[in-house]
Amino acid sequence: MSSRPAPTLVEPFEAADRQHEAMVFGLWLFLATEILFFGGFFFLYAVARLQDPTGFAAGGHKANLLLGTINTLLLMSSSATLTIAERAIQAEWRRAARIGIVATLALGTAFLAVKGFEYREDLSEHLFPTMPDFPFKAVGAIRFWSFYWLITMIHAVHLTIGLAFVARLLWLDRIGTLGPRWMVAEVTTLYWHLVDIVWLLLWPLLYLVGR
Amino acid sequence: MRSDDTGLLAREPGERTYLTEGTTLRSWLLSTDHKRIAILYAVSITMFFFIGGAAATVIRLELFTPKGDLVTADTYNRLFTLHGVIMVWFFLVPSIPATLGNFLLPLMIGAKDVAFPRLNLMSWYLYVIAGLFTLAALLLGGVDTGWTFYTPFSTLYSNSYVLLAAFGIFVVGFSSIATGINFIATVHLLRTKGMTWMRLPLFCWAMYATSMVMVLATPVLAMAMLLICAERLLGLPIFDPRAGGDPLLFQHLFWFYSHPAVYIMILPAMGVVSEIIACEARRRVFGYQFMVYAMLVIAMIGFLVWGHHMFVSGQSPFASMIFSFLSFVIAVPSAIKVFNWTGTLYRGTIRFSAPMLYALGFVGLFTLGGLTGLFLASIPVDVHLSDTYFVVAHFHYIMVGGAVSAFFGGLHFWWPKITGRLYSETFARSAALWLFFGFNFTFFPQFILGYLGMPRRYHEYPPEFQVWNVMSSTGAVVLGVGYLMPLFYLTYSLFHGERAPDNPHQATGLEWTTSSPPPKHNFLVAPVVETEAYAYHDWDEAPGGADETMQDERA
Amino acid sequence: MAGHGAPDRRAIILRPLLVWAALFGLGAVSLGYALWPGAPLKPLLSLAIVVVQASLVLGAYMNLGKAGTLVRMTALIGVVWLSFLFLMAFADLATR
Repeated sequence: MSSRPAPTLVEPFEAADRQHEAMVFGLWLFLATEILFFGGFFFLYAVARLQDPTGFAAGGHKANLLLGTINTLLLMSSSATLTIAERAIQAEWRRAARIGIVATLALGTAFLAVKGFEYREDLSEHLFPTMPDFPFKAVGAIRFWSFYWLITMIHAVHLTIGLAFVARLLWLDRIGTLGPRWMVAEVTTLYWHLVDIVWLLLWPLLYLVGR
Repeated sequence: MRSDDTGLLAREPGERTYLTEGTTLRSWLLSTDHKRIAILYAVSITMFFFIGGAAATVIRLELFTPKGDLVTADTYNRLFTLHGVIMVWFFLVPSIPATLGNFLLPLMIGAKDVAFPRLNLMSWYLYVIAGLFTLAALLLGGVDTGWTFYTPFSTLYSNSYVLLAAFGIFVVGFSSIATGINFIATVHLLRTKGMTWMRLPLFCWAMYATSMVMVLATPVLAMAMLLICAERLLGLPIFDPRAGGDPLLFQHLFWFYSHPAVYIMILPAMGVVSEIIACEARRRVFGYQFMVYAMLVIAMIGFLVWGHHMFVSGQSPFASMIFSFLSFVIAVPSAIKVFNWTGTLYRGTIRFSAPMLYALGFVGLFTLGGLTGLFLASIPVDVHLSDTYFVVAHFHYIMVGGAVSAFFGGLHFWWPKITGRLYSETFARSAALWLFFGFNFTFFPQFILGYLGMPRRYHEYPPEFQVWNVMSSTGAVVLGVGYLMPLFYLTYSLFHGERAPDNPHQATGLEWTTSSPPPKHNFLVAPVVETEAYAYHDWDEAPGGADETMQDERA
Repeated sequence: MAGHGAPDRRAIILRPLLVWAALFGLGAVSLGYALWPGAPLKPLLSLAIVVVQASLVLGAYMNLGKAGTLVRMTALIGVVWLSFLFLMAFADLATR
């Protein structure tokens, strides 16, 4: 790999390689906590699905496969664009970096917009379990839809936080310090990829059930 | 205040310590110095300790008499819930790690600060915000579910501020996780030259093991609390039995965190005790390697025993047997540590200073608490003792007799380093003895009550239990006085105490090589380590001769 | 600085796009299989595909392939600890 820009050092680090090691390690520790966090949910999901597979499938059938798949494509693409941006930053290719970051922001925002639209569709079909005209009686279907709302909201919060961090990269570029702070870009990208991986797992669990 | 003021801040005019660098409120509230953050935490957890203690006071007052005449049953539920929530999450979990750990870890490894100083400050703010949410829940009327928040009562039927409290706990979890990440990265990457893993003081190993547990257990609690919030706030049926929800699902998630949480609360205490006993007995720790492995094994197996909290809730007997077996297994490394502390005393020149009194008290009380844990690990016995005062006594022996004693011991031991002042040894020793006496007076009768069958969380009880309850409540008064005593003489020492030298205990450890209080960046010159920890005597003076495996004969 | 020329820049753009294509392809297979009437073991296959996709993201995007032991162990530890929850809790649920 070609040499990276001279990095900005933050306290308490006095050597760039040590700081880099620490930031990457620290972020992976955080990602480990996210695995356990989402894992708790996946445990409940597994139990519920095994408990009443037919009800679960009936509920899952009503999930909007088209919108869910569009979202998967949007997020998948945003991972690619952010990776391009991150590598461009390390190669001091500012133009590609900026385009990549903006593209990621756009794709991520589009994801949220599609999600919002999808929520509206779901609500118009009364697919929120507390609604009086919720169309299902089966225990599995009720649990499916509870989980759907819960986990997509939690994921959306994670995504929004990710967007804020990516936007920060754009701001760093504006003030001209993005190059020296390529480590920040690296860890931001790692977080974004987690958001992507979680969705890659959620997509079949929410949209391919009962097909 | 000028920096040459020799009031609270420095020993001599012109001396610069972490206390003199910036004296405005802003310089404290926005400080990324691990030492100042430790003090911010210390002040906050002390506040919460007294709030939790106030709840305990009312509880013990009620239990003086068999009739429920002081408070209603509903209020009593809110009191013990408050006591548990505050004491576990806002006092015990952060106590040693966030105060002593924050202050000492970088010093002990020879570093300038933790790996992520701004994250450190953020962890304190998360703690404070979480505390505000929980206090809000309290002031608005409290929560009546018990600190365990069992569903479906907490999600469907409780008429109390469950959402606020659960959200507060959700947030404080992130404070924990932040501290854990920081400490793990710090120990891995910021050790000074010559500080190899096996030269680390046991307190550092304890912080490391505790941080691993914090990082791996707390996220599951976060999810459990979030699920409660979702069911309360949005009505989403998750644990609702009418939608197929199983109460045990919540319990599995809750205890997957909450059992390792007790190791979060005790491992740091074990670290403190190792430091104090080695210094005050003037001996190397017996079996240093085993002490390290024991802590790591406890941290790991601690994740595999949570079902012992669920023996009577409908868990399958097969799973219960696995959990029971592993709960017995985990007693082994704890016992190894107790034997090694005792072995450390052998041929020692013991100084019965206040910290040593606390440390010795810890060893005895932790042993008793741990042994009673074995009773509870045995399923047929637990069936009778579950939800009685036996359990209450068991965990208070470990949490209070153990962890709080160690916290107080550590606070005293490192007080000169942190504040640059010496406290009155006479008062401190009296307080230590007073606390030991008051503690046993309070909690030993509770073992008997549990054995006799008195249930926990009841505000009234049959008259035949009264004598033991009166003993316990009286003991609580004694204990309360014991807790207040340090508040007075330690505060007094801040203003009028004798100035502390760099190393008043003649202890080994890098923290004692710098000034008391330390300068802002800890060391004027980065230290280089050439010997193993606890070099209190030559190897051939060790019990058993020169056959320790950790000898480091060359520099 | 050396290596600032076209090949580096091409790699910067192309490699992530190749990974994207692989992820897309795998997703298409997953979708196709899910919609194929009467196909067996749909949940298992879709999860297996997710594992491959995640491995791609972890290895090619997140540089786990080039990372040191410490980082790799950290990546693994969350999964291992999660497995404790699954294994032991299911031991309970399956044997009631």
